[in-house]
Amino acid sequence: MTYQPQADFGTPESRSTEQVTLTIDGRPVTVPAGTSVMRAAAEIECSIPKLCATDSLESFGSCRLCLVEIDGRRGTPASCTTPVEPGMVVHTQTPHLQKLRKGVMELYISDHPLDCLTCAANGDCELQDQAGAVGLREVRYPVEATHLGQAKDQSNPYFDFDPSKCIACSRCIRACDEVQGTLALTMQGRGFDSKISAGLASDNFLGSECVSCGACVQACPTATLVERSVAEIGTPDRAVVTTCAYCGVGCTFRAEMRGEQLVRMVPWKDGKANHGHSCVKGRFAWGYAQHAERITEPMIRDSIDQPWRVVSWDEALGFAATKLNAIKARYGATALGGITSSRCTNEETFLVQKLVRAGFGSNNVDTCARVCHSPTGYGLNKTFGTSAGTQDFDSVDESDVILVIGANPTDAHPVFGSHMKRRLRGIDGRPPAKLIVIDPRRIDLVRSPHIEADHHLALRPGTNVAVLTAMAHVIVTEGLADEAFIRERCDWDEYQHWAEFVSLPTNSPEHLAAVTQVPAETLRAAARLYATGGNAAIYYGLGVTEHSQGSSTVIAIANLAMATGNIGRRGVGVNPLRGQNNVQGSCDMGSFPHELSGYRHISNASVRALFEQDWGVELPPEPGLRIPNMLDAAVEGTFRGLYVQGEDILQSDPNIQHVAAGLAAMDCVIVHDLFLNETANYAHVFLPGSSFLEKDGTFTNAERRIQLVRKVMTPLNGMADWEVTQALANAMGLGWSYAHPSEIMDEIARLTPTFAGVSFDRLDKEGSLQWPVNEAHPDGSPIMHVDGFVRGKGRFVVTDYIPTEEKTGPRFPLLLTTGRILSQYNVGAQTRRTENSLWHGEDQLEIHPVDAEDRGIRTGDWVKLSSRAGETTLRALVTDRVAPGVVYTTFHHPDTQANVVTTDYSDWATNCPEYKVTAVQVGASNGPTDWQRDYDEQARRSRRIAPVEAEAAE
Amino acid sequence: MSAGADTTATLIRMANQIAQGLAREADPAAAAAEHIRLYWEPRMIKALLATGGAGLSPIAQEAYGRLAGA
Ligand code: SF4
Ligand code: SF4
Ligand code: SF4
Ligand code: FES
Repeated sequence: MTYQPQADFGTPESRSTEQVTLTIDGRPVTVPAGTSVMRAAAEIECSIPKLCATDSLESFGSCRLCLVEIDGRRGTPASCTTPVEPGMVVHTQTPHLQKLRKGVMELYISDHPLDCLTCAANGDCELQDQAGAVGLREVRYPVEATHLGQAKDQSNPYFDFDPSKCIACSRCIRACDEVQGTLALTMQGRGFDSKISAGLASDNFLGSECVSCGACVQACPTATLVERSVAEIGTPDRAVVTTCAYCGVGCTFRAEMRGEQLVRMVPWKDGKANHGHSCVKGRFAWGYAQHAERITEPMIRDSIDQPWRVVSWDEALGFAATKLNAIKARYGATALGGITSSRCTNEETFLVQKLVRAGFGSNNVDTCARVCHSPTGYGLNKTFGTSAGTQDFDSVDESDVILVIGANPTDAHPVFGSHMKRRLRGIDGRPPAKLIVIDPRRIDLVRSPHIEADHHLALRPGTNVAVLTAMAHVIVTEGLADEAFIRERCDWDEYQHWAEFVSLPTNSPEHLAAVTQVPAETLRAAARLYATGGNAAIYYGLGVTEHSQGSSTVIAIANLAMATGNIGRRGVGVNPLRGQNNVQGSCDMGSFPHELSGYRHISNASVRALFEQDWGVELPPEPGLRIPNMLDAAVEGTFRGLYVQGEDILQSDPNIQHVAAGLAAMDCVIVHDLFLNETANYAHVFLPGSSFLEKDGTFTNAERRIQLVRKVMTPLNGMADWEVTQALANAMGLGWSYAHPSEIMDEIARLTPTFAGVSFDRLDKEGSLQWPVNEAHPDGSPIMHVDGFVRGKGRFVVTDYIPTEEKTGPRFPLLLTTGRILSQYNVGAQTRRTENSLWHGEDQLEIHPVDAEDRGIRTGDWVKLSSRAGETTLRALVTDRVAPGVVYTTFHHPDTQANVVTTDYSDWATNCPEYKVTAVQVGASNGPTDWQRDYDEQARRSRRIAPVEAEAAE
Repeated sequence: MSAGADTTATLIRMANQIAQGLAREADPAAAAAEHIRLYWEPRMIKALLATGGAGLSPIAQEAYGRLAGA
């Protein structure tokens, strides 16, 4: 198939259900009312020339190229701004129109360099296409106008801006405004003098507000804004649709290829999660897949103070299998375990847990989702009966009130953040949704262009439950609860019990203000707005789950939604925003030690029987060890071998010294990853991994949407990750024979009722499916709990506010909370290996001016951050985004090791670590701490790879 | 687990946290014992039972009794 850009219908789709029939160039066409004449024509493959219109943006009507003639109307209206009418008769091509269009085109071209042959967009330029389409053959104006010869802006690492080629169509400005919502671009001057600029005229792209989402690049019809990779490699010759491997939004992209080389990732307009939008990570930060530090050959060593030895796959797998089998023979199956990855595909995750349960013979399987969303599983299961968000992303279009708690969508889930911002700005033509933000820090959403939160509850870290209970107090005591809904859908007795509890005077906002530091009136106003403002939706993130009361907070959120009837239809619901791309999927696939795929407890004999029959083994009926307990057991000597796929537990788990001690105590640690990550410093076997571009499979995003990942190039390491796991299983003598991931999905569907209707064939045909997909929901389930809760009656559960044991005191007077930023991803293993580091070169400690002054700290100073657990150093950023008494940092860089200071306190129900509250002290620093120095030394020694000659000499 | 001092302390703390988290259930001790059975690996339960229960809160103490009796 030759390369074709995605079709552009010129103006957005109309959602009207009313149909209109008209005639275009003698052919009848029926389209929804509100469709433009341009789009109607495109539907019958009649492409009217255009420059300023594109279907991701509202029509603008500035270029005058799309003129048409309409019977009974005077003049030549612009087809992009003219809506269809019944019986309309349109002519798109007449001698008169042709002459007009040529004239317009001539003007544009006279101000445009004629270097098409050497232009990066040659062959992929709308100006070129349109010049051809209107039959332009000569330019009668002298080519000398004002635009030419301007300097290129190459400050952005991923795209160039060449103002000489600009035709001032303003598509870029409108994309930044309408699609992304950053409003970074402006037009200066008029006519031939007009010039696009990023922020102030003096700014360049990198220095501006631009977040490098790429929307303007995609919208630009010329080579003015063009991906640098296109300039360097050339235009693509084929495109494959695949899914982003960064975050839980699950954007789909066209991977545009030239041979086996990826030229660019272009967001797919038909993607149901992203509708053609993207963020800097998925759009541009894929260079890590081919980074020089990527390890492509297996390596082994007997002990971690030896250098690595590069060996063949056979030798590495044999070495690993021998060690694992020996441990099993000597210490029993419970001495072995595995960790699945939220970055790998569903099929790969399923195989790892199968290897552990069926091959190793233990239930010691866990996943890094433990450290982020395990409380979501517990809390939503208790109250609603299943562990997943209730809505699809598009549901937000119908929300009237949006409550964001402990989440930072514009940074952590940027494409959904942009979607939410469109609703908050009301650019869909309806009154903007109201916004409540509950966060210790002033996240961007609180105040950004054209958005201002109605209420920002800047609570003290660790008091989520108190704030939510106080909101419930207001709702119940002021009579705002939706009793009709509760009587019909929930357990009434449990509701009454709960209502009585939250009504206690000790749960009033006035009483709790002392602990939450949220003024009672603000809290009351927020509660009233949530309960009475129309469709109200809650979005939450790690700021909810990563607390000792994480599970209670999730339950408290579910209680609020039930009490106000905000569940079971569009525009409402409870929505966990998942961190990594396949957190949802890895949880669904049975990655937790106590449950099999589809959230079924391992103690359930009939569920076990199903798997036992299919797999031909007996499964232990008791839950296995979780990550922190595996490490405890390792120190004790009863846990000795671990297979870690695609996760870096040393960097992402709390209390890094505890993790290091646990890993160091094991006999066999197998790390399966793209890079020698931090965990690999303690590994004996390194199995090289494959990137998402090199394998087939599926990811499941935060809205339960299962989407295909498609292989676009041969794995550099020779095998996709599922093949590596299978090879390891076979080296242990398990005799697996999957030929393709689709066969693994068939097994998942066979064994998991909520996936019963899922197959690669269907996904290929339908693009995506939202589980449950089964007899009751043959086409999947965009919204859950529509006619009743999964568990039957919704359950109210009383949540007591229990302060964390982590308390401030004279030695550690400040509270540290942690988060993420847009350009980096999780522990940063991928993004740090891309140009994204230009935006975030190091982790910084945000500290309030008052606390900074007390300590004599200025922005840019090196400071020491210490807690009861440990200390580290980093640079300070003095800002009032954080409240006095609170400091904040990210954890994207291994040199900072923010997790050296976080403690091993954890959620009471799930042991999800309490990353969000640590009592700390901040002071001036004299450079890296001992721990940082020791760690660097250990890491340096551990990463040595023996030269191949040395190996021969042995 | 043969329960080093650290691990023992962790298990006691976890059991107390669970008991506290479920203190509002109709039968908190039963709920806590059930929670531990559903989520803890047998080694951890054994190690908890080997501690003798010192340092457990009253609800956790009762849950401990149920786990030991089971
Ligand atoms: S890349 Fe995105 S944020 Fe930057 S100017 Fe373009 S549209 Fe705006
Ligand atoms: S940069 Fe591109 S999109 Fe923006 S006005 Fe110029 S030609 Fe149009
Ligand atoms: S929002 Fe998430 S899924 Fe979408 S492109 Fe960015 S990182 Fe990828
Ligand atoms: S495309 Fe209609 S006026 Fe530009």
